[in-house]
Amino acid sequence: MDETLLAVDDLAVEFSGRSGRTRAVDGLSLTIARAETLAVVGESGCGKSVTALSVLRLLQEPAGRIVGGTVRFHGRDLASLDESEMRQIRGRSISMIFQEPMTSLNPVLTIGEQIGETIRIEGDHTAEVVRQRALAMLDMVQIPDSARRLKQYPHELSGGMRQRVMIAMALVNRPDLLIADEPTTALDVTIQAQVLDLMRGLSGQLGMATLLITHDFGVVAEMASRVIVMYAGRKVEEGPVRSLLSSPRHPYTIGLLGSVPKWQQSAGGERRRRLVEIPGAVPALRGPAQACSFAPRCPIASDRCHAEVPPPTAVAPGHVAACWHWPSSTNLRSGWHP
Amino acid sequence: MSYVLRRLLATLPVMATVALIVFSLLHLSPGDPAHVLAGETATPDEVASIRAALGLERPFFERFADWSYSVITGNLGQSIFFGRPVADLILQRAVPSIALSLLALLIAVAIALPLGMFAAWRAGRVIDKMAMSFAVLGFSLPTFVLGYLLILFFSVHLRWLPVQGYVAPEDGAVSFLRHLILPALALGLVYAALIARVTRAAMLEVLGQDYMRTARAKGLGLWRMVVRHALKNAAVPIVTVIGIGFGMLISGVVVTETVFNVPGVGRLTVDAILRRDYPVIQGVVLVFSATYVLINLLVDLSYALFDPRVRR
Ligand SMILES: Nc1ncnc2c1ncn2[C@@H]1O[C@H](COP(=O)(O)OP(=O)(O)O)[C@@H](O)[C@H]1O
Ligand code: SF4
Ligand SMILES: [Mg+2]
Repeated sequence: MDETLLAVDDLAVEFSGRSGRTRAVDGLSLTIARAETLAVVGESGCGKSVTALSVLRLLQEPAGRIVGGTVRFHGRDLASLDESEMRQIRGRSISMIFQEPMTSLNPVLTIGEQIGETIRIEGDHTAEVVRQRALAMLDMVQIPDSARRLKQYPHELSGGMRQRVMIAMALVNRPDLLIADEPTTALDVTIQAQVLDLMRGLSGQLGMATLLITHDFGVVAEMASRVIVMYAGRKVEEGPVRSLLSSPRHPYTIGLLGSVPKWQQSAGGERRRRLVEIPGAVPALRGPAQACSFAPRCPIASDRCHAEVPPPTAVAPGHVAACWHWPSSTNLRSGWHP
Repeated sequence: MSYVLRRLLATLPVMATVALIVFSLLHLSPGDPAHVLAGETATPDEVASIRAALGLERPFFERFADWSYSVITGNLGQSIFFGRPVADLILQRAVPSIALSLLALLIAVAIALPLGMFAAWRAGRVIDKMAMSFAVLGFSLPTFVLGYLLILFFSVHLRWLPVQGYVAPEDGAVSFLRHLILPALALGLVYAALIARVTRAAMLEVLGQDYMRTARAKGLGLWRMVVRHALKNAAVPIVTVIGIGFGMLISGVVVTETVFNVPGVGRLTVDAILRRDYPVIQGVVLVFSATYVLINLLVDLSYALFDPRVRR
C-alpha cells in the first residue's frame, strides 16, 4: 500500500525582521506514504525545523510566513486552514516532538497533567479513564514506576525520561504522522540509542508515518527508508536510504557523508556524535534562489552553477540530485578534506 | 528546613529593623523627645511628667526593649490628642482602609491581568500599543488628580455616585459599596497600570518558551494555553509586583482617604501628622510596615504554589 499521507509541494517560507527578509525554505517538495519513515538531513540552519513547523503551522506568525506552495495531508491543504481547523489536526492526526527535552515540557505542570490534557483534546473522558490511558502510555514508552511519574514535575526527570514523556504525549492520540525534530540530538549516546529503538518500535506497532529530522546519517541508516538532503532551504538530493548512502551524487551530500564522525566532549559531559562540517557556512537567502546555493562552497562549481538553479535530476531509480555536474561528483569522494 | 519556615523566620529581622527605625525616629530626632511629644504650647511641668513617663534617663536600648515588648503585647502607647490607646484608634479605623485596599487590589488585578495578557498576546500590534499607552498614562497620573477627575465625572457630571464620605457596611451594604467604588478605582488604576506592564513583560517572555510551542503543537485551546500553561509560569513576577506595589497602595490609601474623606487609617495618619501626635504616627507606621512585610511574606509563600521548583 503506497497511499500518500503527506505531500508538501513547492513550499516557500520567509521570515521578515529588522534585517530584512530571509527565505528559510525555498521550493521544497516531499511526500510521505502511510507508515513510512522519511528522514530529512542537513547542517544546522538549512531549514529543517522551519519545514517541520510549517507542516503543523507552528511558525511564529507574522514574522515567519508560508509564502508559497501547498501542504496536503490526507489530500487537504493545511497551508490554507485557519487556526481552529489546524487545532483539530495538531496532537490528533499529526504530532510533533522537539529537539529540546529540557525545555519542551512545561516546568510548572505535572507530567500527569501534561499527558492528561493531551488525551482530553481528543474527547471527554472521566478522570479515571485519562489516568489509565496516561499510565498505559508511560508503560508503552518504558518509563518505570509510571504511577509515581504522573505526579512528578519535569525537573524531577532526566533528559531521556523527558523525551520519553514527549513521545508518550505525541503518540497518546495515535496520530497518523509523527514529526520528530532531532529528537535525540540533545541526549547522550546510550540514551539516544534507546530512544531511537523505542521510536522505531512504536511507529511499527502503531502503523504511524514519521518525518524524522536529524543531522546524523547513523540515525538515517537505522530509522528511515527514504532520505532528503536539504541545503539552504532547498532539497538538493533525495532517494532510498541505501542508494543515497552508498552512492551520493550531490557534492553537498558527499561532503556531509565524507566528513568524519568525531566524538565530542560537550559541556554537560555527555558524548555526542557530530559531523565535522564542510568548510564555509550555509548562506541565508533573501528571496528565491537564483543560482546553486552551494556554489560558494563547492569544489567543482562552474560559471553555470553561479547563474542558474540546478533542477532535480534522476540519478538512479527513485534517487534525484539537484546538481549540474552530478556525473563528475563521484571524483570528489576521495580528497574532500585536504 | 522547609521553605515556609525559612520565609517566616526571614521576616523576623526585617520586623525588628522596622521597629528600631520607628522607635529611633522619635528618640534620636534632634531635641528632647519629651518636648516634641508635649508640643509647642506645653508647660515645663507637662514636659517633665512626659519625660518621667518615657523613662528618658534610661539607656536607649533598654527603652527600646521595653517599647518592643509592649508593642508585641499590643500596646502601641497613648494618643496625645485623643488621650486613648493608639491600638484602639487604629483598629477603629481599620475597616474602611482594609475594604478600600482590598477593593482597589481587586479592581487592579481584574483590569491588569487581562490587559497585560492581551497586550502580550498581541505584542507589537496596535492594540498592544494602545493598552500600554493607557498603562503609562494610568501610572503617571497622581492618585489625587485621578480621584478628583473621577469625582468630577461620575459624581458631579453624571451624578451616579456620591461625591465623598463613607458609610459603614453594617449601615447598608449597597451604600457602603457606592461610597467606596470611586476611591477604590482611583487607587486601583495606578496599581493596575504597574501590574499590567509587568504582566505583559512576564507573559511575553513565557509565550516565547519552548513549552508554549509544545502546548500549541498538542492542539490545546487558546484558553488552556494562556491561562494554564502561560499564566502559571508568569505568576511569580506578577505576584511579586503585586507585593512590591503594595507599598504604593498604602501611600495611595493615605491620599485617597483624604481626597474622598474616608475615615480610615490613612486619614488618621494625616491628622496625626498635622497634630504632631507622635505615638499615633509611630503606631501607624509600624502597622503599615507590618502589613507590607506580611503581604510580601504571603507573596513569597505563593511562589511555592505556582512553581514546584521552589518547594524544597
Ligand atoms: N524565528 C526565526 N526568525 C528569523 N529567521 C528564522 C527563524 N527561524 C528560522 N529562521 C531562519 O531559517 C533558517 C533555517 O532555520 P531552521 O529551520 O531552524 O534550521 P535547521 O535546519 O537547523 O532546523 C535559519 O538559518 C534562519 O535564517
Ligand atoms: S550545481 Fe554546481 S555548485 Fe551546485 S553542487 Fe552542483 S556542481 Fe556544485
Ligand atoms: Mg533545527
